Amino acid sequence: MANTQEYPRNKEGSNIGKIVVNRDLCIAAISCIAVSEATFQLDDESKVVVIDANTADDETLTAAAESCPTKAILLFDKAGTQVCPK
Amino acid sequence: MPEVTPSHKYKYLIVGGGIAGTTAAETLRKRDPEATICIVTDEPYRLYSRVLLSKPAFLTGEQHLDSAWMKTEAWYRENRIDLMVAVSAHRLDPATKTLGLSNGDILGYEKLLIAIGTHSRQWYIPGREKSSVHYLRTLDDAKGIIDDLTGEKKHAVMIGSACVSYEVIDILRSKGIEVTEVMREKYFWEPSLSKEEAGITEKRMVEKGVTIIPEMEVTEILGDEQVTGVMLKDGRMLPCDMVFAFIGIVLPTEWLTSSGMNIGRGIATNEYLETSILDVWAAGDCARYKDVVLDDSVMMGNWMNATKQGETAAANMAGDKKRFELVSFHSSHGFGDMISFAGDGRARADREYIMRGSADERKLGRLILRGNRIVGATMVNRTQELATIVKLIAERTDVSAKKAALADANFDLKTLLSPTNAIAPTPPASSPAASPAASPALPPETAPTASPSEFKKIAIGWFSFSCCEDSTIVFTELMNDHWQEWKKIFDFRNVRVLQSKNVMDAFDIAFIEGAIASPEHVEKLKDIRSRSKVLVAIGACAVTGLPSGQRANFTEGQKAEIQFLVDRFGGLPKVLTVKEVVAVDAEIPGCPMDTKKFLEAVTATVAKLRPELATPAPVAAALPTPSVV
Repeated sequence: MANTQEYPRNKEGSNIGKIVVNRDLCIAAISCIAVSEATFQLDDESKVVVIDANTADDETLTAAAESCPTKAILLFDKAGTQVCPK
Repeated sequence: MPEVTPSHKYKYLIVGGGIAGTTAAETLRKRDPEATICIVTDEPYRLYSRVLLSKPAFLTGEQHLDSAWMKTEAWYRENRIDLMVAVSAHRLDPATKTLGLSNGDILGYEKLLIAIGTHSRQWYIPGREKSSVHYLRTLDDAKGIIDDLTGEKKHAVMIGSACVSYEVIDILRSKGIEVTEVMREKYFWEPSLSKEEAGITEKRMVEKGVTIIPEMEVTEILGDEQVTGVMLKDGRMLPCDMVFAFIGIVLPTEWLTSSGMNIGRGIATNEYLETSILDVWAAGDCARYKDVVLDDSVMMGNWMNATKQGETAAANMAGDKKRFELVSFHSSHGFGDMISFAGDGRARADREYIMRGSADERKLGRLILRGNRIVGATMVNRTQELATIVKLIAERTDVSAKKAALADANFDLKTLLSPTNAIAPTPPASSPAASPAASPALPPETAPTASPSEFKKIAIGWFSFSCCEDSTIVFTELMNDHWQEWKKIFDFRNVRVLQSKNVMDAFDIAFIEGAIASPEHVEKLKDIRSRSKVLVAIGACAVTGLPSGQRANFTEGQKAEIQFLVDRFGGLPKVLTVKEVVAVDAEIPGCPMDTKKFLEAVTATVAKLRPELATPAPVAAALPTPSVV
């Protein structure tokens, strides 16, 4: 139902297998971009998109997801379990 | 004067535990691992997401309350940030640098940040104390609404007609609750949106069952303990079992009056977010700051602005001199529509409004102009243009010749953007006076002996810090193609290769290569900044701090192993990027620097500093196409 966008991640050694952005929740507060500009950017609708799912390490990615004030960024481990937000 | 003995003294003391204050604490901790830091908040909680409070999944109780937390309790402990909750600031004494608190404590500070946000305006009408009369500003307010919505409520009266009201009305309707909107204004969203834009959303609200009563006031809330209705000014009685009093905000600054701080409608700050009192900064919703992009004093009440101001204020508290520069924007969703606001949306006599789009298509916006430039915008369902408009505001693009095009919704606003939008032309306060506006154009190729007094070249400095200086090599290579043009317009005053001929005075443009690794570097860089109109960071080391900064990621064991080297070279605890130390006007990434971006930035900077050189004169035409005028 929710307008979500999924980005698979296959970074070696990473525990995170997927980044999901809920576009309905995104309000373009850009906190995530402040944490990892290499991963996130705003698209033309001022919604966050993932431009490279494999560049940031797990710690940075988690910090970026946790910084979102609307919890619009979800992280899943390789087994498909949501690891963020907890 | 009575003796003031602080019970505790902090290096950094922060009043306000919201996103501005907490971001500041986080930034300060990164900058200064040893400093004592304390946050004082009048709320009983650590940082939570204020924007989540009016979002559907949260306010309906569908999402757990815990989803609002932005930091764990452990985070404060691990970062050694003292958090004093449910305590408000009572008195600021700049003479003794102390802060009196509501619990009787007195805290000393070296640097103080005021990030107190705003409070809900209280509604002073008879019956206001009854249950089910709600405000929405704090987590406790939200909890009250969530609890109330679990009861079988049938009819709500909403007072107020802006973002939070809009979002909550949508939530109430989704729960099947009747909503009557009672407002003083002529239309919902007045004055933040034009009547035409607002009409689109009003019509949709009415279709979705909302009753709107404009130009009306509630005079009394009826009922015993529980609300049973409201009395309107015209004598009508509306039965209801919930009332939402979203009647505006107030700035809780009475406690600052005795300090003599300059406070108008907000706490006045300059572009560095410094208040009128030494060693006291302000950030977030409470700050009425000098906005360098808009060249005006403004207040911005949104999450993005608060976060970024917390960051900038903290950097300046830690010793930087960074101008705050951001065009912030925010959006509100309701009934399937998206309303967006960018930049300065205030109604002012000197503004010109250009409408774009059509109400029939339910996509309408307006550009707000001051003089020849866009300073703000509002829009309904035109979010795809938001990012571009924000850039046009930030670039101070001259749109005076494009007004007809701006009114054409099919005209692509992106075509107005410059190829690079990295240049901030406002010179720092300490820079030398700009060159005379009437400086004559570049002498033509046929008159190379024109008197130097007629043409003042652009003064250039090129400085290298911790790096392999490969961007210097690339710059030297570029001379193969550009020396003939550059020698006519550039005066290379300080470049390492000039050795004893180097001059250290004022620069129009300073290029900085390398990471900042020692206190000496910091001093030198700040000195260069104070002498330069425009400062450009060159290459990966300057822009990212890496690879020199890599040691920040070492394990404790590895750090211990290399500590003798850090000590020997007098290194900073952490290697810094150029922009972590001084304001940077443009950044050219790459190892070595990206030559295309470098040439674009040079062209854009020349065009900004000396527009006359950007006109298609014989020599200037040989430069890459000017991008900014």
